Formats: sequence, C-alpha cells, structure tokens
Amino acid sequence: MKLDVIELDNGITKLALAGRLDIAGAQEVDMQFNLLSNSKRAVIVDLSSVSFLASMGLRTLLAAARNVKINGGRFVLLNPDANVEKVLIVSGTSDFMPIYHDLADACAAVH
Amino acid sequence: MNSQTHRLILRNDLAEVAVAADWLNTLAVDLELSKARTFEMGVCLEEAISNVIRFAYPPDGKQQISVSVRVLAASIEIVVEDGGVSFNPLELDPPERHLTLDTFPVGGLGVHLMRCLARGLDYERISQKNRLTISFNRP
Repeated sequence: MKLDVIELDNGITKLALAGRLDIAGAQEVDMQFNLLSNSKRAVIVDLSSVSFLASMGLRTLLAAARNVKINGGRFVLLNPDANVEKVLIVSGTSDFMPIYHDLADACAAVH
Repeated sequence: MNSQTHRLILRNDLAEVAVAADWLNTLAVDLELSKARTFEMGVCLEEAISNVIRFAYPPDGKQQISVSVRVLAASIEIVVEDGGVSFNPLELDPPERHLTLDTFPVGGLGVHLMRCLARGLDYERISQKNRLTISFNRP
C-alpha cells in the first residue's frame, strides 16, 4: 500500500492511496494516516488507485475522518473505482465521508 | 447437478488472508467471473477468514481453516469451516441507520459488508465446527 501526501493550494492536503486497502494494506498506512489526519484540516483522500477495500480499510478511513472532524476540518473521498465505491455506499460509511469524482468539487467541499 | 469444488487450507495467521485473496483471484480468472463478482467475493472471503483468525482460535498459527469454492449451475458459494469456538456471525445486529460519524460502530463492519455484498449467508455448527456458507449469483 502506497501513500503519497500532496499539498494543494488553500491549505488542502491530498492523500493519494494506491494498492489494496485490505488488512495488510490498512496496517501499512494506519499510523501515517492517523498522524496526518490529526494535523490537517482540509483532507481529500484520492482512492483512484485503490483496487480493493474491506472493513479494515474502512476503519482506517473512518478513524481519519473522525480525527479531521474533531479538529474542525473537512474530509472527503475522491474518485473511487466502482467496486470500491459500492463498498463505501452499502456499508453506510459514505454518509460521513462524501464521495467526489472531480478534484475541483472535492477542493470546494473541504475549503 | 454438476458442480466443481476448489479447496484451500489456511493456518490461523492474518498473513494467510493475502494467500486466500491471491487464490481466489486466480480461481476467478479461471471461472471467468466478472470483476464486480470477484471483488464482492474477495471482500466476503477476507471478512470471513479474518473473523475466524481473530476470534475463533488462540493466536498460535497452528490451527486450520478450510475454504472451499463450490461452483453450481446458477450460483457460486464460498464455504469457510473452522474448529474454533462456536461463533455465529449472523447473530450480530447490523449497524443502525442515521448514525453520525461519532456513533457509527467500526466493530461488526465486516459482517455487515458480507450481508450487503453476498446473495445469502448461512451458518451451521456441525461436529464442533463452524461452517459459514456465503453464496453469490453466477455469473
């Protein structure tokens, strides 16, 4: 699991994940994701290169969303693959982590 | 009815979840399953196996988990069997709707996902074993 941190304009941080967000993948990024989500207030998680998502990955995302919210920030998801998006929707977690398919829209949502 | 069964034996070690995923993905190509069905089956398999590894057995890595994929005319089933403590995941309540980010429970998410993605789930306790059957439409 790969995690790239990209600082965009206006204090927005894009966290780009790549790989399988399964048990092993979630364990690989949990600590860094936790640290980043505690220090950022406008977070876009780019899921376009995430090929798999199960419950442990959802936990990672939910924990980060909670951290950002506690700090008064906003947290959204960008461009999940159709199967990943289905997991987000049927699990009910997209109610708390809005999904966008356009970077400009995602930036507007967290700014 | 003609059917095929493919079987894999795993140890109760979380590293085995990746082994099972690779096995299922290879099998899905051989069976010409769609990407969406393969994904749904992959999620359910990870959830079922990881539940067994984390909750059914002591963490010694020496216990066995049997995974079978049964290919039937109009359906395909994943059957996960273990000899651990009795655990019926279907007794877990699904998360309530209209929760908030703060109150949404992370525990039980795996079983919730299996319920949402599979056509059916069936649990049996047979001869001191747990048997979870997860069924999907085919193709």
